[in-house]
Amino acid sequence: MRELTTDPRAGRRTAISISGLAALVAALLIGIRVGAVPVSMGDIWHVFSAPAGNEAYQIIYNIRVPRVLTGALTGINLALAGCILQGVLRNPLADPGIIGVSAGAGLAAMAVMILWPGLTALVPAVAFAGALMAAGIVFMLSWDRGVQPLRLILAGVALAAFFGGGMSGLMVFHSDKVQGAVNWLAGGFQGRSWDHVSMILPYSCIGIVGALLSYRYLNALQLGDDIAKGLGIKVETARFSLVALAALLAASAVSVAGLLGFVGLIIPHITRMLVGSDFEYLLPCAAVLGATLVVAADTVARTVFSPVEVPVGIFMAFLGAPFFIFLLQRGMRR
Amino acid sequence: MSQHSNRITFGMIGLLLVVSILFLLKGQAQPADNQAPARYQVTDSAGRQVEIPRRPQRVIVLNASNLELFYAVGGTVVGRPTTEALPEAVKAAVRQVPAIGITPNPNIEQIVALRPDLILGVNMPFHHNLIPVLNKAGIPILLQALENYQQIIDTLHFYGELTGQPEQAAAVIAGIEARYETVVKNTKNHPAPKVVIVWGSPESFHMATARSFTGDLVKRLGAVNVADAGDHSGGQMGYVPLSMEYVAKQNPDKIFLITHSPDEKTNGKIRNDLVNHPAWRGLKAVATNQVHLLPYNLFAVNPGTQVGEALTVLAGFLYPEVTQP
Repeated sequence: MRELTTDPRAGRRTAISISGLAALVAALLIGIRVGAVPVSMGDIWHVFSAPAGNEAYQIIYNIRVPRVLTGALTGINLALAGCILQGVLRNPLADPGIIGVSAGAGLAAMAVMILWPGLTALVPAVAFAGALMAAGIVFMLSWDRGVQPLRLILAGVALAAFFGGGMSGLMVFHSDKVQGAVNWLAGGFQGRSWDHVSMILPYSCIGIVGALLSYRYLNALQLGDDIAKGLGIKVETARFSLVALAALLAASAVSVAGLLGFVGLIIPHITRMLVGSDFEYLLPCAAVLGATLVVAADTVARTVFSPVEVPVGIFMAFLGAPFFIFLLQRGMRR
Repeated sequence: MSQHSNRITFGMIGLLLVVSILFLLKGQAQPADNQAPARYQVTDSAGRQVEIPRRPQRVIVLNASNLELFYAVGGTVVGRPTTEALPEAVKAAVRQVPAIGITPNPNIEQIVALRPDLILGVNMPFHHNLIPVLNKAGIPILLQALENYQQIIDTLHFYGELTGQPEQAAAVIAGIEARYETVVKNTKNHPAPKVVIVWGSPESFHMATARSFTGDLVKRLGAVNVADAGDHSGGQMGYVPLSMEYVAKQNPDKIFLITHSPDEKTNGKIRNDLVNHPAWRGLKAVATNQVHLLPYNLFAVNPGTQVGEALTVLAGFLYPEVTQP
């Protein structure tokens, strides 16, 4: 009997890893290089070699670098959260919104922006708290000796409807102030600063470590509860920890990027088409692709209609959805 | 091999995190500049204490109403919003000034590149969002609310100080106040009509309360706003959702209509929809043809220095017996 020692997809995975990383580095550099105000490579170099308080320094160091980093970290967190949830819930439509984070964050953030506009600085923290609270409620509703996937999804949908009603209520009663919340609802990175980087960074670290530790559990859970149990995995504990990890990742992303949909749903699918569904490769590749997509899309969204910036969420939905459908059709034909 | 590439990928993500951390730690050291001599503290409408130059030289204004008021007292700007909602004179004056994007979505890179020493914005979340970055860049931003008549007067006064032309500001204010006094005096001893101010588009109607700009003017003119009588929000909201039943029960003498669109055709349609609604056809205001479309340029956005015109228009509709002898 001959043993198969090398995975036939290994070469493909290596190629995708390397080109994904190259694309991410390119996206980060281009994101720092281009914008409404032209800067030269020399200016960028000076920011790091000889910081001066001039405009180029302000624009590169205080606006563009934190913005591309926030975008990259958001992309990582949303993509990881999406991968984990689709794996744990065994549902291709699962995305970070399904555990209630978007609805909870949205209601909390809108309440602050509309009712106490002076406290807008607290929006990221409040959105984070709202997201975690909503995820906690969904957990409680879906708990039956462990997190049950179907109950989780149904509870998530119900809670999203409830909080969505709250958001609509705020919009109806304060229609003159809704304008202030529109950009946040669409999802974007306008005006993001180092504060936002420091807000999301710890969760990205938790996400990376969690993903490194958990791919075996995800692979096993995908095979069904019985097989996972047969492999010696405590299904309830594993599922709970993984969904909690996804909730943290998604909540941190929402807190800095607003309601940026799409990434958490689509990136896992695209990555799966490229590298297969083994989570050992799926998680890191999805993180890289998520970061690349968000940074690249945000760079385009803030430059094409200059000086007007389009919230990246709108832009991504318009360009990303058709691309995704194209990929799906190709994938189905095969 | 694949195991290997997987490690590399995670390694690179790790590197990205490390870079972010390094930057964060480094970010504490700020190059010091902007040590202008004459600076003082003011409190803006958002309740923030802001240190601003006594005579700002490079001002950027982010919205039309503030821009109009700032120009009225002799100010000039180095950056302006992309907007059409300006009086012709101001529009012509700022044509050559670089635009920095629409009011709800200004471009922060362009703002910083214009090296302003003061930014005037509005008390809305989209301008609050700019504060962290502007703080780092050492650029003060004032968030000014313009929600009633008194705030226009106060703002003109303040901008007069900023531009160093308090006399011009005083003259503009005196002009507005004289007109205000005349209008209010002429209408004083007349029976107060009962009005409803409808603010909306064909699919969504709201009533303006005394907290809204138009509601404030109507109150100053002594009219009874049915929205204020039914406002149980503790007077916090400028606009409340319209209940046709409530209005039908109140049976106002006059209906004022403000639309979101300068387009005459749309506005005509909105007016007809309201007037021809079965529940409203029997209203006193409809029966006596007292449904008035308020001019878009004076009422859709804050009229600024044209507040006198806005008052006159309202007084004309409220007390036709006074203004058309």
